[in-house]
Amino acid sequence: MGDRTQELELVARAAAGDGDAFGELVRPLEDKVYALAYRMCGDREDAYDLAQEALLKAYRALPRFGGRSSFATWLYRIVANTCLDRVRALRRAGPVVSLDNPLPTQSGELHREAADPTYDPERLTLAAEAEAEVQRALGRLSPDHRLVILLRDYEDRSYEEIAEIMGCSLGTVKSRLNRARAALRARLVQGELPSRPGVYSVGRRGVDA
Amino acid sequence: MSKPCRSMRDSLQAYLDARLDARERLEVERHLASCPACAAELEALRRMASLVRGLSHPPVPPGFHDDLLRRVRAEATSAAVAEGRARQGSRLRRLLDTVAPRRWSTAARTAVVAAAAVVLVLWTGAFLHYMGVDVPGSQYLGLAERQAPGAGQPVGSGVAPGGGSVTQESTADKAGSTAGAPGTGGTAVGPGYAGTTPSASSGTGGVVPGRKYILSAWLTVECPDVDEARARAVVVVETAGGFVESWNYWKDERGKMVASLVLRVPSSSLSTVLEQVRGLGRVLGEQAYRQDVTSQYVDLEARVKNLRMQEQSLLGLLGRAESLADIFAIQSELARVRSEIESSESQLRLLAEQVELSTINLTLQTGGPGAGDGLWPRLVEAFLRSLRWLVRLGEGLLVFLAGALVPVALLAALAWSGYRVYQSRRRRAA
Repeated sequence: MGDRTQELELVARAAAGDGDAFGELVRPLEDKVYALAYRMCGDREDAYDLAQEALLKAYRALPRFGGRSSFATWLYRIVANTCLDRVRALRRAGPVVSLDNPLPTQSGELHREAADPTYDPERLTLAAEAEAEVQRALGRLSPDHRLVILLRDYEDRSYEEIAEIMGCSLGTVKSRLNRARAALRARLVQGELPSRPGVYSVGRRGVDA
Repeated sequence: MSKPCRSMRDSLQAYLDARLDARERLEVERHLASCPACAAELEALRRMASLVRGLSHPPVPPGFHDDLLRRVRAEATSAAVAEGRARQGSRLRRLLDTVAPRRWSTAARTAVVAAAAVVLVLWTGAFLHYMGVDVPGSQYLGLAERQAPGAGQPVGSGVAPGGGSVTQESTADKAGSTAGAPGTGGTAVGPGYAGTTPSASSGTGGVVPGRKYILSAWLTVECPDVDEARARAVVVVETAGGFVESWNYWKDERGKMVASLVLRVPSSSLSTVLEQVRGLGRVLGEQAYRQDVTSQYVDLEARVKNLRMQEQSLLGLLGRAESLADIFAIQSELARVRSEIESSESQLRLLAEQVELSTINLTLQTGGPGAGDGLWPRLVEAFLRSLRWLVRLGEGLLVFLAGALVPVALLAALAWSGYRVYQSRRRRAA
């Protein structure tokens, strides 16, 4: 496959220290990496640092990329591990007050939203509250559970891909996902499941797939 | 509403994630139609999945890519320098990660590393002790009383001399460090003793003419064939005019053949016999001992002389006795004196015989399997020895831990509660 050989060529150049080749390799993946990092730690600044750190780590580890899996999967594996490490460290350091978390005031919660020109304001206002709720519930899961749910439902990855990224067996993915969903459900019920219609998109791939 | 079926939990997830084939899907759907609880469960799961799916995907902030490229380029320039160091560091880290995987909590990783460090320190200490280095505190591990296997095996203890607590001197130890000596008036002498005994002092076997000594030697010899060595020892002793007083044979707990012989040889030829006996194999330990019995000897001689004079005068009295009662009295006194003479003379004879004939307590034992032969048997022996030693160390450690259990548990509880207080304070501060 042309794509594959081109990718391997870029990998070889990047591994030899060609920064631009590396940039070309990761540019199409940056969005996904950043989004996952954001959903893992729930804070934009942390997500930025985390994504940078993960990609830099990948650059350093590039000489050890064996080409057994695709570059994207290999990169994701590093991203996932970096996220897990960082989130665990954050958890030990105590809860972080995020700018994205609502600020409790006497008259209710105040959301600190940084202006983001790329956001569709209509969609933002619709989903903001539900998003914050779900993000909070995710933040209360264990890092492993958070990651497996995000990989499956947020990124719509197959069990096989998840197993490769998390470095575990299919059976482990299944049971971990099972437990993670149960845990997320418990957290969401605790924090009142946001049930306003229209907030969630209808399943893109579900029963009918 | 009743609870969803437990048996359906996996199936519902597989159904939700579209991981069932047509037949299985049909089965689940059939169940869902008849089980409202499971249907509700599936609905809740689906709703939750769609909640997560509906989370927005924030795009990378502007400048992210340039920022990354800048860092990557900076990395590339310093990479060459850092490479060597990083590789070393990562190798160490990888080792650490193997011992204590990253997915464990920091507390668990710390505990594992600490335990490894403690074991390493203890092991190193014990090994140094084993190698004969004086390690402080080794007595607490129950190692101190055990003889280092590097020195002679404590096999000869079965034939410890009558005196009792004499430790056999090992060739590996410094000469003269063994002070215990049986009996009184004795002088322990070093291994060089036998050589300095003047063989000219025939009959009396003393160092100073006119003095009486009892000479004894203990010898442990390692030889490949115990039977053969025993036979040769007997020949040596008999040609020197001596004899084997007793001998016995056994197999020790490690399966080694051990023979213990008590040899009596004329004191005049003790040194030559010892020399030949040493030639039977490798000498593991040797001790010689000299007991000065001159005063005992002189006392006994004087006593016998005295009694003899009494006997003579009693005989003289008997010849002059006038009444029957006198005769009886003198005769009974004479009998008492004569029996005393006999007992004293037999003591004197015994002493003379002990002075005349020295005693060699010889222990013959096989080495380890072919010890001292090829490299392989020695390797095997050393390995087995260290294994045995490790087992003993383990026992010692177990005993030590049992003893330390209560204080360690108390300390751990204290540390744990301290950690909790620290944590809660930090949490409050945050």
